[in-house]
Amino acid sequence: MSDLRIGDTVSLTVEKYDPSRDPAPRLETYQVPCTREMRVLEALDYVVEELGESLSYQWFCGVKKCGMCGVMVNGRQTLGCWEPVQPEMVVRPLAGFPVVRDLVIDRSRYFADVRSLEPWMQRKRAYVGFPEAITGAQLAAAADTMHCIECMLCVSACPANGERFMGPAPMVQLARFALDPRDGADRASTALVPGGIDHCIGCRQCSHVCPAGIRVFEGAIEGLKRQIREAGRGGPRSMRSKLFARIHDIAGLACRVAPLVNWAGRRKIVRRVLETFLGIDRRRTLPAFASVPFDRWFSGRAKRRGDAPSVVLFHDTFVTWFEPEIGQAAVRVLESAGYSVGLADGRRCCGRPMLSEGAEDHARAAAEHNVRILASFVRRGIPVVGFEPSCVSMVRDTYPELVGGDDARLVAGAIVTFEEFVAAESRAGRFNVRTASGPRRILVHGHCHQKAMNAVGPTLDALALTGAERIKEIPTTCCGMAGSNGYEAEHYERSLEAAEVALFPAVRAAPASVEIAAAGTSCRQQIRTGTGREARHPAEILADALERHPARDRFA
Amino acid sequence: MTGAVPLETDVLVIGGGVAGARAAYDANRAGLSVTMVIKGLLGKSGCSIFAGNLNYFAPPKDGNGAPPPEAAAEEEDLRVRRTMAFLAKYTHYLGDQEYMLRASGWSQREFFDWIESRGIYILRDDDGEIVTDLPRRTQAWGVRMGMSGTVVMDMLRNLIFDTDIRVLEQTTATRLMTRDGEVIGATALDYASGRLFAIRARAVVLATGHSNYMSIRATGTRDGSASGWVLAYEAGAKIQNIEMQWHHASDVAFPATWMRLHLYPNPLPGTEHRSQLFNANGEMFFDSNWLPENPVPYIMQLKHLAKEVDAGRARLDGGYYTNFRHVERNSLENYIYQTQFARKIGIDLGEEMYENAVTWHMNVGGVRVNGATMESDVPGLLAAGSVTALVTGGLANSMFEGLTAAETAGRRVESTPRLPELDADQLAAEERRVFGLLRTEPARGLLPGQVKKRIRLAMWEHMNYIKTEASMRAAQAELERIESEDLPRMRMNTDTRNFNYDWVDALDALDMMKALQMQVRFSLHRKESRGCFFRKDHPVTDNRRWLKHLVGHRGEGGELALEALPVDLPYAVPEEELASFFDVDY
Repeated sequence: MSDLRIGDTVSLTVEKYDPSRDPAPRLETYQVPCTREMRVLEALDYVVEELGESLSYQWFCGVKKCGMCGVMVNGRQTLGCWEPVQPEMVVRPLAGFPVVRDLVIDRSRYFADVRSLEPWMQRKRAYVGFPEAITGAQLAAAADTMHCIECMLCVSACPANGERFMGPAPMVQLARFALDPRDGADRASTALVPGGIDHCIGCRQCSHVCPAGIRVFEGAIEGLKRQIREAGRGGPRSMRSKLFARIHDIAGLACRVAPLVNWAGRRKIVRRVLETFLGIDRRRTLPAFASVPFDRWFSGRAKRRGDAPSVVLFHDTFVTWFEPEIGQAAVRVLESAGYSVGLADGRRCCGRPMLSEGAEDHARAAAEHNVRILASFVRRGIPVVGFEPSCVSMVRDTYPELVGGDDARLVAGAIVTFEEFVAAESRAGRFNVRTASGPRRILVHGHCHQKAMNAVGPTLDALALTGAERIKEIPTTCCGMAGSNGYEAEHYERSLEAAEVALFPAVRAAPASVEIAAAGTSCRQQIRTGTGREARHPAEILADALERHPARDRFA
Repeated sequence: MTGAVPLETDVLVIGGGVAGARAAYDANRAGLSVTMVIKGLLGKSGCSIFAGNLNYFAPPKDGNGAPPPEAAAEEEDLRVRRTMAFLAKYTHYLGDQEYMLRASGWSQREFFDWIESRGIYILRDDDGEIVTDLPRRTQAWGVRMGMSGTVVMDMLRNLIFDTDIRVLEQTTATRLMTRDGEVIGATALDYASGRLFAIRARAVVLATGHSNYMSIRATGTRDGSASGWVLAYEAGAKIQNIEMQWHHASDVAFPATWMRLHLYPNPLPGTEHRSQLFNANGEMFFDSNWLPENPVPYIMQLKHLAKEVDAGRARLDGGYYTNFRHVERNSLENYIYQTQFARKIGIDLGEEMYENAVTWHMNVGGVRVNGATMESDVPGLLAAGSVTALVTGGLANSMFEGLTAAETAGRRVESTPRLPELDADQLAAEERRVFGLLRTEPARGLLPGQVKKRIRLAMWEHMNYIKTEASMRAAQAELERIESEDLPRMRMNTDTRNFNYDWVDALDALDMMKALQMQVRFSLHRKESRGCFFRKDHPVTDNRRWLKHLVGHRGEGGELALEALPVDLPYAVPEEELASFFDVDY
């Protein structure tokens, strides 16, 4: 809970709209006195019962069973009976649904979708009578999905939800049967058609927003995808899938002829060819390949020290081939704070692109390889630091299951994002640096996986070292890119629409002097496409702002 | 005038909880046309989703093959004894014993098979053993303790998806239509679209549940307004024992909306420990294990609480606590749904206690029906589930009543070849009443939601767990004041017909007023204390004079006519004739 105490005033702004009468939605603000551990739903009740103002909103149970009180609170999907009030709250209907009135949304598409999935048990073998021979262990995965209350938070937060993909909640309802060993229906096929599960882009927003604590992505959706692969359906869908899945290898080749590739990438004719044959939307600018990849730059530098590294960078594909300046900035920051920086030499792509495109074997091979390399550092007590939240989250959240074994768990428990490292070291008093001329205001957009890892807070903390007066997180869900999804021609429009909900307006409203920070490469790409503004990785912002504290030398 | 939308059906089911859903499902399977009218959404509203336990009777150890004859006789004897013990604690000897014996037999033989065969996961450990309470093994749960009703309703919703039942959701029944003393249909308002339906039916099954939201602190859901009692009463049916209002002692004190979260005193999964209550001084004043044979010790919790309140060591609105600290971590973390709520506000139930307060809960009484057929005293009107006066609810009982009602409805449909025409005057009057509430005048009026809150406040202050003649008279006076001053002033900010929940609130306020005025009258009439019903001015349980059903119906002049009728006690009779309220264990 925030610092609100009983009797403090909650400023509650609610969107009101009766489409049958009003030309447009309007906002109204009420003052609500806070009660003990007050939930959002209680503040809405107060408007009707104490202030005598009509307000349409839905709830039945008040205690996380009916799933009807989901709303947007300050731009985030929130279950009203579950989350506490905030000092200043703007409450709107759940994003992505037609509005019936005020905060009431139309759920009819969802119910029709679920009905079409035939969500009743279709037994493999006839029931033989109570009690049947099953164990808690066999039912564990299915039981997790049985906590679903169909609150629609995940559907609202899902950037891929739309005509082609029913969204996460229907997949959870389907997984309830698919993961139940008693059910014999071909749920894998249903997940593909009509479910559209192959359009899920693995952003994990669903797991992040679920108030029931269900592993929506890791359990339900991955569970269904696994069954699809085992049944030999799906898999890489196209040339484009293969291209995205193998971005690491392709980038390595392309960098050798970077000027030529980049020139081609900018030609309209080439982009049209890419759209026709690969389905990559021509309105997207493809990332430009660096002529000197990050690792080559790093090894080409005169080594500052001969010491063993005190921190190792897990330089991902994007930093290596496309944006080496981020890696260079990180090296400057870390070295100025006294660290001896090393690289995870020989590392490969984290494997996420392959996994997203269904090539689990390839992903596993890459992951096993990386675990071997990273574990050797972790065992020596050397921190491993990554840049791209997707890659860090892959190692942290997916490797233990994908690879298995102690080393995978060891590495998963050790890897941190650059900002997490800086924030933690700073808290521990080991990161003594002082500010130079940092930006006065910074707006931060959190990457989906960063949010799923609860790693946005450290980004704000790390950026605070710049001495900025105001650092604010933009209340967004996904920027709309969701990995490579936004590049795909069929997702282009929807991708931009998703960003128009909160991200683009916030960026456009920010004066030019405001620095935009985004740790995700595709988020930065999206911000550039939609607003023309250049967002930068926090490492670059810090590098600009920080200089070494002259009185301190860590290794002195 | 608006013109109600006419609909026809064989069976009209009012209510979308476990009783209504099972009644509708079975009637549909029997080939009848079925229409459901549900105030909320199927599987989302009403009190069934709150059922924490599947059943209060042990699941059969082995559902297959008949046991040897002696064992069968012994088991049957045990079942009768357990059933009657349960009924005594649950209804204070006012439940229907013949009915309950049938219901428990059904749930023993068929309930677990029926739900498990359709996919309900009955909580097991990793070796496949069904998780039960120790050492008696009397209960079982769906997925987790606290989730049973939610997953059973998910299942019924999904089964109904696979039928052609007409489901009218966000639609509230406003009046039963009668002709020549028979119920022949109902009017129902779809508040999402503002349409009124006029539904003709050969049989009507009333299944609106209980646990209504009638006091400031109540377990009831938003939609619970006791409209089932009012619909039946207005149609001429008899209402029975509604003074028997339960409260919970161990619902959480805060946040306010979580008052519906119960920290169960029932036997807990996978452990022999049960909950304890501590007073403001940190002294334990109740341990559910003091009553090891009682599967439903709610009433005894309250009796002990009353003494603490009297001594100033607890209040009805807080200042006492449930303790689970002695319960094994495995039960708390893996078997009990409630733990996550405590954690959400920073309470670790394994280390700390959670403050409780009293909450208005279920009702023993309701619509008087024949326990063998679910028929009310009015032909054409059946009732099923906890809206009836048979027993105090429960998932299995309600499901049994639903399927029984479906069978009776089938017979009635067969013997009713022609759908009767609705009475045009009756329909027109109801249209005027319903649409008359949709108004923005008077300017200085009250929102219906504000009026509901005032009604709840009157109940919280004067009709709480501890009552006296004086407090009940005060409740009566305050209800009369609200009826004469506030109800006529109800108005809305807008008269839109697009999802105007104020409109539902207005209908609710009228129903709540009628139901509660009846309830206060019933309560004043019973001059003793019994089970859930505690009068401080009559602290005795008097089985000589008051082991009686209080039965009310609408008299000739339209006023409530009350009478006390004998209770059939074929299997279990209380030992004591007259005893201190605190000395009896029911």
